[in-house]
Amino acid sequence: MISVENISKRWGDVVALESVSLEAGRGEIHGLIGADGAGKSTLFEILVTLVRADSGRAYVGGYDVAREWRAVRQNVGYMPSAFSLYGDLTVGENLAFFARIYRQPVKRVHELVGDIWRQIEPFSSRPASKLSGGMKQKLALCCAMIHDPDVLMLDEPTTGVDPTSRSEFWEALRGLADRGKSVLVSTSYMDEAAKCDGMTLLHRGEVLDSLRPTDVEGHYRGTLYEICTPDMTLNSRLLELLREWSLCRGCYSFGDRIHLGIALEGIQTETVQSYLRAQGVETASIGVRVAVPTVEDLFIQLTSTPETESGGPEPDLA
Amino acid sequence: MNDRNIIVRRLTRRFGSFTAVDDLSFEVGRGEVFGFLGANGAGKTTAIRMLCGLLRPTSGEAEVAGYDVARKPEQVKRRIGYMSQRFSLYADLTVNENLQLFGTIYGVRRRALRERIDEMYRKLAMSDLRDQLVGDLPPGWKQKIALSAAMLHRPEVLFLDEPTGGVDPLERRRFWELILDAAGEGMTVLVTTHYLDEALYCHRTLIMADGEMKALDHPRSLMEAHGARDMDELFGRLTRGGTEEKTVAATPSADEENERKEENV
Amino acid sequence: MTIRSRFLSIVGKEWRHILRERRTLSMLFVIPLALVLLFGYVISTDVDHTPVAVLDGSQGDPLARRLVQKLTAADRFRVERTLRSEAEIDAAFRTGTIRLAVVIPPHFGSDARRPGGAQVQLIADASDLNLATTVLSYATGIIAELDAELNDDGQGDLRQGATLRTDVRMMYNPELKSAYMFVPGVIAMIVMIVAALMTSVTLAREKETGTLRLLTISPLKARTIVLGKVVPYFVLTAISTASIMLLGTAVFGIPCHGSLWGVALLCSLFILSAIGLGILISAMVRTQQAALTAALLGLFMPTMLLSGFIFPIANMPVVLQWLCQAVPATWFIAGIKNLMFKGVPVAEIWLPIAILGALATVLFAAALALFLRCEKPTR
Repeated sequence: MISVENISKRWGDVVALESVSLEAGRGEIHGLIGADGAGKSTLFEILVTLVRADSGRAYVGGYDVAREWRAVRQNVGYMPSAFSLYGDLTVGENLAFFARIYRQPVKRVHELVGDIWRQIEPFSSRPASKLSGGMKQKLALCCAMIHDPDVLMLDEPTTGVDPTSRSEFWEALRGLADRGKSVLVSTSYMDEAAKCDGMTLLHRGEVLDSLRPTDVEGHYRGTLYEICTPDMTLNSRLLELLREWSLCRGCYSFGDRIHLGIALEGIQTETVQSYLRAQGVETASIGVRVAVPTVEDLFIQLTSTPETESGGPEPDLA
Repeated sequence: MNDRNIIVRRLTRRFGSFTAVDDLSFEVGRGEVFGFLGANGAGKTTAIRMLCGLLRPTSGEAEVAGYDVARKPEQVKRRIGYMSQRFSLYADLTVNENLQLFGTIYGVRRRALRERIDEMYRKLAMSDLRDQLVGDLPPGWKQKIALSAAMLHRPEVLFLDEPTGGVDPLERRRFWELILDAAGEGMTVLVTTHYLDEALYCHRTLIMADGEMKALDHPRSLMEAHGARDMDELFGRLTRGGTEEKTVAATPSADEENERKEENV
Repeated sequence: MTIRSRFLSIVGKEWRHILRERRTLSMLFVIPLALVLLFGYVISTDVDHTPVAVLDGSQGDPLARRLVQKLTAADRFRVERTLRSEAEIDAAFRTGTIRLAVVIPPHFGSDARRPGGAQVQLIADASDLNLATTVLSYATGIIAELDAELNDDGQGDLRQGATLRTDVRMMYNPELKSAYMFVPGVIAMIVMIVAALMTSVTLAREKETGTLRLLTISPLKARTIVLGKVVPYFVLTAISTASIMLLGTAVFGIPCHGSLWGVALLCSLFILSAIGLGILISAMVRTQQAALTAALLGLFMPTMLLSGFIFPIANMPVVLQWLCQAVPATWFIAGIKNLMFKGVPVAEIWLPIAILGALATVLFAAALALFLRCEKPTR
């Protein structure tokens, strides 16, 4: 349903996207994971046909975004990264307006996104600007869905939204995917990656990796250790010591714990303990265990190892 | 010697009939990183505004850096730092101009300011960025510089309002290391965040819902006590129960009030 | 049918935006009201006891004395000063003590008895044209009465017709700029605020908030979006314009001598060119703030300063005069002045109409073309 092949885009001298490719099938939620400035918004603008790519091809719902842009527009629902509805119009008026310009009966919202609409319907006479962040995004989703598009493009729909509303929003997305919609959704919250069917890690305009959430462990190189200290006072010293260790391939705090990546296979937790002891650390109260890497650990590994720093020169003229 | 930098007793703030902050009491010690979690409209922002001396409490009292926020807001403001993702630096000024500006605003003497800025450049290894426009920097750098700017006057208490939004994981960690360093030197840090995993960087976390305090402890102890596997579950359990709807029904007046206050700042 | 309903949905939405902004909306009616009342009351229409200076060249001729007596008899005029030479006339006006100078020639009495009669010169201060016209018409009326009396009592000899003639001169306002000028001036300002400024801001707002992106990828055509959004502003401006005119007529008795259809045509063309400017601005900026600044500096200021509303164009340096020709309000004010106050036929103001029509067409076409460019995927 969504197919992106080697899309590149420059804004003046700034490279926004460098040969980005990804695939998302029907009924799939595909996450675009990356920080601000990773190029997520530019990719969305290209895929909803607002902006033309410098090179590469992309198909949305089977249509070429460059040549069949009219057909693409009929087939996508889009939520830009900033709240893009009319704040001075009420919830009901916003929905009615989008229904009218797409020539849809407003009632259709019940059939298309009934479960989400029911949550905001009680506030339908409230100006949209007076909604909480989570409610705004639900309204935007309803408006984006009113013409029953096959593909949904959601640019950071959960940014700044509180955790409870975020998980409600993701439940709504899952419901839509179950009904056969393809959803491309970007986020800078790494924990949301686990809720996707597939994901693309984007960093400074380049794809770091494309994978399923279940494959994170397989894509992580080496072994990840989690180090627990009784309180955090010891952490900064441990970080310093571990970073000097020749076996260390990345060491950073993870909340009150420390995550340590080691490239070599077959290292025991005892090895870590003994290294610390050799540095004069009292390790009795320090717990070391092998941890299952999260998307965040993978992302950190991919952004901090030197070989991924430059993706190699790519011919950018099509 | 007083080692508690924030003392809050029965702090309450109403906007009309809506109670934004309801009977909040807690204390934060020197060098402590204190997390503030809650849904939008749970009362976090209102509470922070009161602690910064920007909003008068309806009842109850709060002492920040040794001064009562209602009676001596000017003394409080001089001793705190504030940084938020939304407003932090002037994008059309260079890094150096921003730092000079904020340092001067907070009354840091010229020589001390120069030394502190130089020290900051060394610590962050960013001397070569000093003449770049802040607007041209990646988000991670902006945030680190904004944090440094908020600390130039060596505040006793630092308020961070969702400081890490949109920053990549590696940068977020570097940012937290800066915060923990500052706390290690005795600064009290009060931080709000929507990244629940970040609560684990805090020594203690307060979870708010509907203006009330729902829990206060180290995040791991809270998870254990409530039998939650992760922060997500804990947060859901503590704040669930129609939070959103109540919030929506009640926030407008609060929003308006806050907006009005914001204009005055 | 469907295109129309989409168009109407945009129009309807825009009306909602406008009606929600109660503060802006009320300003739109309060500002013109205040301006009209302000300008209107500055004009004095009270002509009782108008101070007059008399320069009697005949040195006490009986007929001259009778003339002065007649002038002052009805309390309408009073002699404030008696002058001895023409050189003193200017000074008398400049000190502001008189509104009218009556110049009686030497040999006034004997001239009156000769064929051709005698001529009285009336000089008025036209900087307040409204007042000057009123004063002059009273004065000429009184002189005509005297003339008739003279003929009746036989002093006019045997000739028929006038014995006394009046020569009227206006000073200080060569263009005879009407005091009612404030009406087209206020209209021009309001049109620039509502039609140009608000249009550019409302379009820029859709850009700034990102809603324009949603509209762009919807089945709406760019022209539907733009035209749908500007229709309410056209209506609003038209209402505002009409109410300013009504107010002027009702409260200050400002005349409209010319064709009402001509006035409507001229106003419509002016409003359309203002809207065209507004769209053009919004096509070139990204934020509401930028649109506001551009409209204020680029449109509002020239309309105030370079349209002949506040400063007479004829007194400007040549370069500025050229610049004035590029300001739509100049043509609007020129046209409406002739139409309303002088009552010239519509055909005679073809030039302002043609220029405003051309401006409106070109600006609209250019502005729409700019928006149309964004309809396809850009760059």
